[in-house]
Amino acid sequence: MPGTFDEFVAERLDQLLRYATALTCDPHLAKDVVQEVLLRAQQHWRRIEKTDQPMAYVRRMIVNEYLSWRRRRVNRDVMLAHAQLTDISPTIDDLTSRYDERQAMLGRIVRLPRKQRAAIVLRYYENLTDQEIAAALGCAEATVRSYVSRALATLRADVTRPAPKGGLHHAV
Amino acid sequence: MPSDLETLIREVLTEQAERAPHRTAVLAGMRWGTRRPYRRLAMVAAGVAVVLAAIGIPVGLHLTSHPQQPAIPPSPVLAARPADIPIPYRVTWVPAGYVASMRAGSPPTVPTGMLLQYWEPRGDDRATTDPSSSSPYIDFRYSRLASNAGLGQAQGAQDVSVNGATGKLTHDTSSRANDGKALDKAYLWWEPSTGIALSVTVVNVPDPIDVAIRVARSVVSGGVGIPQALTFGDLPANYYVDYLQINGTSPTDFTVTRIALEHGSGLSHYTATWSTSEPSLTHQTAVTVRGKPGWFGQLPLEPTEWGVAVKLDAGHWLAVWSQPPDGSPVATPAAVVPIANGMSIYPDGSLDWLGH
Repeated sequence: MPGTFDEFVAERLDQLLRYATALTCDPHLAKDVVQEVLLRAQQHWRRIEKTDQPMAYVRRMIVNEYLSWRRRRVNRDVMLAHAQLTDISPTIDDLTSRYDERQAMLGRIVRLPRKQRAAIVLRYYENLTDQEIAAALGCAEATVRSYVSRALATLRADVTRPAPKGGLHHAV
Repeated sequence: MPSDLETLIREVLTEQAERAPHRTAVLAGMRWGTRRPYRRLAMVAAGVAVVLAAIGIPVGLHLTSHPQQPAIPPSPVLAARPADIPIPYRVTWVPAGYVASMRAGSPPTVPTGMLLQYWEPRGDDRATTDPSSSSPYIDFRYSRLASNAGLGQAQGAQDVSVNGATGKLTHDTSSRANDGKALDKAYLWWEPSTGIALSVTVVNVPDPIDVAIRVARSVVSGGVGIPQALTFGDLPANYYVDYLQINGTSPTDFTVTRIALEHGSGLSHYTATWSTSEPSLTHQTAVTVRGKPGWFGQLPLEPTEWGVAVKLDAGHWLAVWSQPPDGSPVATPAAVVPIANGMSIYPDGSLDWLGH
């Protein structure tokens, strides 16, 4: 387990950036989020390193930074890097349909309410348990199950169904 | 065994993770950030408060903590508005028909804060109120932390001269808005001086590259600020005032948002809005806020964020809600009403720039 803050960053930064990018679907936003969180973590490292799992603590800070108000403004689009997607896609016969399928799924993921989206990322990217997700989101395990259930219901929806209208409530 | 749906979700999230930025961009930014220790900033803030008190300027308008006299201030409150949050650079040209629709950012006491300005087609506030919108906008951004270290990661970036500095320009037509519609995005980023990064993003505007370059080259020093039209009064210990956002189409159609964050992890917050639109808090319990009938309720889809809302005399709305600290129960009316009563509002024409 890393001890000093510098050791933590050296060992975990790439992992944190990948996690933040999966969460935000935006590399620029992910950079800003991770940078700001690490600046705060650095100033409070003595307290954080005393926790059982500094990585879990910092991961929670990233979730909360993403969920926070100030980031909603910049989190308004998702870039689909065709070249990157193609590079990591398998060369299979149904490449086009699979690509379209992923693109449609990405479109549905970015439209999820933020906490549902965070729960999905923690479950299916970070492979966390309900208990760990609850700790990361600061809510009850039952709430996590509700988030995931509702998110999966949305993600299971027919790709041809029109996207829902609307966005932020004025004060949200 | 994972279902097809779960497999597809994992694939998509893994693809997104593959797009993560290089670590050098973050490390470079952190070097700038560590030059601003909190202790020094706290001393500056304390010094400002002492000076203001010495010359008779009220630092806090409402005595909400007075035990014998519950504060029920009139609304809106007329008082000297605190100084604007300065935006050190100013855009002097945007395309015809585009008007200012948002200014936002953190005060200088927040070392990692960014400052933003938005312009949108006249009469169109969709981009700043609807994150799923693909409507056109121009975004000018000031950052005290960003560094050119990240620019090397941008594939296909072109060098562009911006007032003596070398900027990096990218043009992306493969992005999608959350509504699924295509985005035509030009992004130009440059450093006017060491440790300062400016950027212009032009989305779904005709000729976005030319517009981005022209907007960037029109940038000059000084002259614009974010009016502190809404400020907190007393806050619980361990909270500091951070973000301010003003968006709308005109001085009669706006929302001002103010956020106070918990020191340390910043996981907990108080958020306040002053708006011409009714807030979306659910109606759970009737409460008195600023001497008027209001209500206590929950933010939609946010089970841990509860707060109060009230209609003010001028037909405006005030809402304050809170995300409690780690492990604490959700906010109660007793915790949030004093915060709402302590908010200061400055309807003094400071929003006249909206829509212009």
